[in-house]
Amino acid sequence: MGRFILLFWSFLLPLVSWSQDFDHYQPLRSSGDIPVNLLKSASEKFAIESEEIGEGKSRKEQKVSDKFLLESNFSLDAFMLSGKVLLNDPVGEYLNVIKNYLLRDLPEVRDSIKVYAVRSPQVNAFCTNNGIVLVHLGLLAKVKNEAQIAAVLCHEFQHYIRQHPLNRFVESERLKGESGMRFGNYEAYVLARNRFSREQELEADTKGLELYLESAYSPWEQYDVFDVMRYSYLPYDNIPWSCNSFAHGALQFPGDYSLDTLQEINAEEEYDDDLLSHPNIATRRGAIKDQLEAEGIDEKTEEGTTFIFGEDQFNRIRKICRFEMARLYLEDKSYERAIYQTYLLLRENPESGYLKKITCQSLYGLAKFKNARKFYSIHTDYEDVEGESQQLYYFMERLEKEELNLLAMDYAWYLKQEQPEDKEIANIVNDLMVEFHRKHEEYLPEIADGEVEPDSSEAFLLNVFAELKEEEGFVDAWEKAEEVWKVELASMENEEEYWERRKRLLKKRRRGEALGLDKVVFVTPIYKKYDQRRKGGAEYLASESRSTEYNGMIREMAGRVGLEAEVLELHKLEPSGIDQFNDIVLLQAWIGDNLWNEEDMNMVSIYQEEVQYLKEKYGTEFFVLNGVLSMIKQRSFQKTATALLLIGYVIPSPLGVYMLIKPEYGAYYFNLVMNLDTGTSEMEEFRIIRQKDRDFVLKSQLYYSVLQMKNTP
Amino acid sequence: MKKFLVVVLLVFACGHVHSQTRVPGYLGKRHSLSIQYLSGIGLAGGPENLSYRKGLYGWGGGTRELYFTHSVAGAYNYVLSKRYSIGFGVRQGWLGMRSLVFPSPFDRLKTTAAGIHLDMFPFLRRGTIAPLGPYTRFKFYWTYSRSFQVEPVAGSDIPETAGLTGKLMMPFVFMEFGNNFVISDLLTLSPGLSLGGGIPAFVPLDDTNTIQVENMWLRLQSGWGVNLFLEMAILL
Repeated sequence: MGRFILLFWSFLLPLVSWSQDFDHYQPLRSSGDIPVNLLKSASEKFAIESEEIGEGKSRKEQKVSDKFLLESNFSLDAFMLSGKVLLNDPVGEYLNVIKNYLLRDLPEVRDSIKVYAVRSPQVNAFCTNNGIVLVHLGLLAKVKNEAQIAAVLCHEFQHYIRQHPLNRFVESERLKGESGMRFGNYEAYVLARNRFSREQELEADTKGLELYLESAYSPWEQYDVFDVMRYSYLPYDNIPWSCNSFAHGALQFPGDYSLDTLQEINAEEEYDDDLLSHPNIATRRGAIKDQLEAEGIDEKTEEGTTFIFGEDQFNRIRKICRFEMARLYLEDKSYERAIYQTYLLLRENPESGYLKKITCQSLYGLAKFKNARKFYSIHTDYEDVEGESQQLYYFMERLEKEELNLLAMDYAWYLKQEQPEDKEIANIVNDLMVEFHRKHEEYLPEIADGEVEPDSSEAFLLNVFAELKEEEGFVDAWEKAEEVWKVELASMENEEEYWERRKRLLKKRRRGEALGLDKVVFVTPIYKKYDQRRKGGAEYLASESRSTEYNGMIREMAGRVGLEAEVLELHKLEPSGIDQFNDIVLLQAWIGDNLWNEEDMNMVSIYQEEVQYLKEKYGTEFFVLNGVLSMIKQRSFQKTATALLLIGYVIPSPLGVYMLIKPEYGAYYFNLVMNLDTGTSEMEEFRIIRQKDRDFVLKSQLYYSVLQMKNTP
Repeated sequence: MKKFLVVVLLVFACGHVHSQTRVPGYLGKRHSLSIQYLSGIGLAGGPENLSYRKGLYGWGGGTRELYFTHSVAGAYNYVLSKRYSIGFGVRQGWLGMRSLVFPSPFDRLKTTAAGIHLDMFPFLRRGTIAPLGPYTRFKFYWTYSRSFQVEPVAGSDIPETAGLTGKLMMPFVFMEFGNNFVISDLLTLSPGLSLGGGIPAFVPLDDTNTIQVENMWLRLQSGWGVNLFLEMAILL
């Protein structure tokens, strides 16, 4: 029977065998049909689950579980459609094949659980109450074999089977209600809540192992998988790194740019877990060991296998995850981690344009942050880093601003020669050249002279420039950058121009923008309602229904001014609309990246090249981020006045009572028009509206926004 | 008056040319015609304003009179920018007054006024765009007022014609606080409070009608001092 099952699953393998040319790696994207359940509104899902779970419960219990379902459904809905969760991708499919095998004897559970891969570098996996198991790529990039993935999945399945998320919430609410906790003993509450959570984790470990032992996987991998968690803060490998990996020709770094001794890896297992939701690794390992020994399974046993669906398949999937990790680190602005990750991966795929570009983008990011004196906001102190990668952190810290600028420019320049069609790399080169003029003006005369005194402190820099100048096209590009800088400088130094600019800005502020656009695309407009008088505050159901109305208002207002407006809405997608889903995810990431771009740094977005196809697809280069955060809160004086009224200190008047009852309304309205070509915002509106978010208030705001977009300059 | 109208029209025309499509108004609607009903009730007090009636009816000492006023106004409004709108209008009002202490004729003042107004919307402070939301309105209205007695005093020998019969023409300034709500993207409804007062320098006092005019002016001050209003406008 066992053989038959293996044979059966191996038939499924072709479905999950994907070819990926790692020298020309294509990042993971969702594909296939969007699961219908994901497209259902969160309120609809909440209503169904509430009915299912609420059966036979008391009113009080039903209230608590409804609260949980409401919060969890809406949070999960937002997360599932955020683009972090991959749909029908090779990694997710692979995980589901393992799931199907592990739950082969529990068909009901198997059918109600769906496993997804999450684009996150964290070493983590979690499960929701409705059977969605989410496994981070960061975890998959570090596991040693397929059996370890199975061990993690078995643990997560138990959380679902035992309804741990709901129970944890119910217990947490119960603890909040206990008199001791209610009156400020928050520490006791946290300790009790975490104790409960740790008990659940141990139960999931124990029961997970029971399920795991029913498989053909090697039993002790359940024990070894804790190493993945133990070393989770480290890169997936520990290979010596040297600054010489960037060295070539004249670009040679002095010896004191390297550390003599490195900090050893000191991954603790037995730490204080009182304030943690998970027991420490030593405790978990100990429990697993005891259980395995109780089952009579010896540590030296060679029972079981580490791969059921093939080692090659596993290695391919893990490699995909590792390639993704490099990009995820870059997205998180963990530039040094990204460089080390690409360094590890380039050993196997030295020609990978994808990895080289990430290295280039990371160096660019580091140089920009260092030039802006904000390096320490994205850099981890090298003394806090363990293992071989410490060398890289030290090197980046040790490099002077101009040296890092030059290193990034040098790397980008040669990469541009390799990938001449990539406009983003070309933009990075140009920006780094202008940046050098802008930030390191003092070196410009010597660079222009081209004479190098061998022992001078600038010798290193000048030698590299001398070599670069020999490159075809470099001098032209450098001179163009100089022109840009000179124009910038002139504009800054010219007082008249400064006042003229200021006048224009004030006029613009007074009269509003006039962009003269014919078409724009609104990317998933946001509408959120919060009632700060209540705990938690988020008004999930009201937000969702109002959101639909709000999108209708956008269309109506755009129509009134004759502006063609497409509104991209996730819940309005058809299951076959995966392309548009990917477009939305990409646009959200691009807008987010540009939005968090430090104002004075003006960096080229890491998505800039990727988003270009959208211009043709949607027939416009203008994409809008628009939304409203509506709030209701108690007036500051209301509590005091009510107390005074109750103790008879003040006499109520009709107006006074009305003011006591009437809450304060307000809304935060924002509207940003982003230009796909430049990556900058053409128009920015941020307004606090001190009024209730009635339809006419919102329409008035939207009308003004679309009018400014439509008006000709 | 002609000069005044010319100025108003010029301001309006310049504003219109300047703003054109850049001013959002409400969904592009920048013109509106409004009708306003104001009403107030209160105590006009102090012996001073009774000097006339005191002399007439032989009252003595300080006393108070109950006033109640109502008026109807119509106006044309034009939104100039996100923060301002201007307009002009007319107002017809009636002010009744009766002594709470002494028997006296129920006098009424009939007032007709016309003038201009400027509305200020707190776009920067509250984020609302004219003509929406809370506003402060400044009105300058040239007022013509005529007084007449409408009913005799029952059981009294005070003659029917003994009441105020004067006339008054002078400017009044109003400050109104309202909040505009929109109904069906077509109408605005605005409840509010109106504070008004005449400009003393313009009180046309002379030897022949001093008492009458002074009295009328003080009555108008009381009656148009504080009023509540409800305004409805059609957005064009």
